[in-house]
Amino acid sequence: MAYYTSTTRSELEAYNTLVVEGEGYDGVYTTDWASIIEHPNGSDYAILKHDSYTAELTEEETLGAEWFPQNDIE
Amino acid sequence: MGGGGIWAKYVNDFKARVIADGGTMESPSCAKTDVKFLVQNPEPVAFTGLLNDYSGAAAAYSLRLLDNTYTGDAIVVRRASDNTTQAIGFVNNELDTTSLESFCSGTDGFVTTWYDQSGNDYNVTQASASFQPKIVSSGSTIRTNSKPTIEFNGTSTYLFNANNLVDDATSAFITTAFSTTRSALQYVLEMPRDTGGSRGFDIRTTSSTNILSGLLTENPTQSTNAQGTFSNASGNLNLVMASFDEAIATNNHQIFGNGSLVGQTTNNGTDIHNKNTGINLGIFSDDARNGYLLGTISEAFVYKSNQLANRSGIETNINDYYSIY
Repeated sequence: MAYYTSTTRSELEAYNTLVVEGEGYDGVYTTDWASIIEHPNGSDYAILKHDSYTAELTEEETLGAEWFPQNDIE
Repeated sequence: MGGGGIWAKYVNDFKARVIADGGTMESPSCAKTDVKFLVQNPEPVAFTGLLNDYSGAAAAYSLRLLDNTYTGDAIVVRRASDNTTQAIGFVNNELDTTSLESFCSGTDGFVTTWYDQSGNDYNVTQASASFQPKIVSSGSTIRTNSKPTIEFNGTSTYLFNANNLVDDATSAFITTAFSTTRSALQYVLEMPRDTGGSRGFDIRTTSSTNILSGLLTENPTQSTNAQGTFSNASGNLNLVMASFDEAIATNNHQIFGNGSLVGQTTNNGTDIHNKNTGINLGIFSDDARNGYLLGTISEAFVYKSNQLANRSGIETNINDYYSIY
């Protein structure tokens, strides 16, 4: 499961729109491809990559644990 | 009287009952036809679901019919081939897998909505395609213990309802039938404290040999863990329940696994904390996106009341259907 990352949230929102329009989701029960993940540093963002859609974005095979702070879990 | 054998006995018995009641009977040959029809076509025994026997659930999710007055569907499914969706209901009180597999037609099917059968319309949903759990794989219904189930991938999938569910409840009882093959901290049913926050009341695994229920109460704020040893990662279904009742002085927070008490503790707070959020199935927090379940969930129930007196009956109902232990 790969991700696209960016420091510009709108780039990832555009990628989500690309997938939504390409896949033709019904807009009722399924409205988007994936929501955007915000890094705890507040300046990095990520979105799941769809196997069928590519973009000029940085691709990461996985997101490190720093993206998901464990102190949220108790 | 025409005929003989067993029908003669039935008709004679019937005639005796009619006369004893002060009535009269039509000709025995006609009575034989009527009695034979009634014996061979008994009125079907009315279906009684878990929620008919144990009413009052705040939310109830299953892939079998739980209430004989529920007329809605079980789920809404998106098929991978063209992303169209279809609601799937029940046939003979079970998920209509014939319609489900026909709709998915050799491809994968994902759950967008799991309907609440409690009557409270507290459905759990997932509108993001990549976060939707799976119910059909390459055209075949996913099953655990031979019954349909919903598969969570351990990395991105979950279902939720963001509206308050048990906030300020003074007692609650939650139950899940789930499976996993992973030894890890993972959340089966979580009603968080707050949006993106910590536990409110939940059921989770912490390893392949431990289950835990987290609870956060107010007045005073107190966090407790009811936990204990319970082998859970065989891939077969586990039946896990958790209970809290502030009116009980000691050991008022308990967790049960496959019909046995696994752990208990005392929480001295009052009122469960579940503000500004609701329920997550298969994840800890949708904001923080962690604690994903790798496994399946077949049923989940929430009562905003003490159900310890009904616990054994609820366990038996679920276990009889799923053959868990």
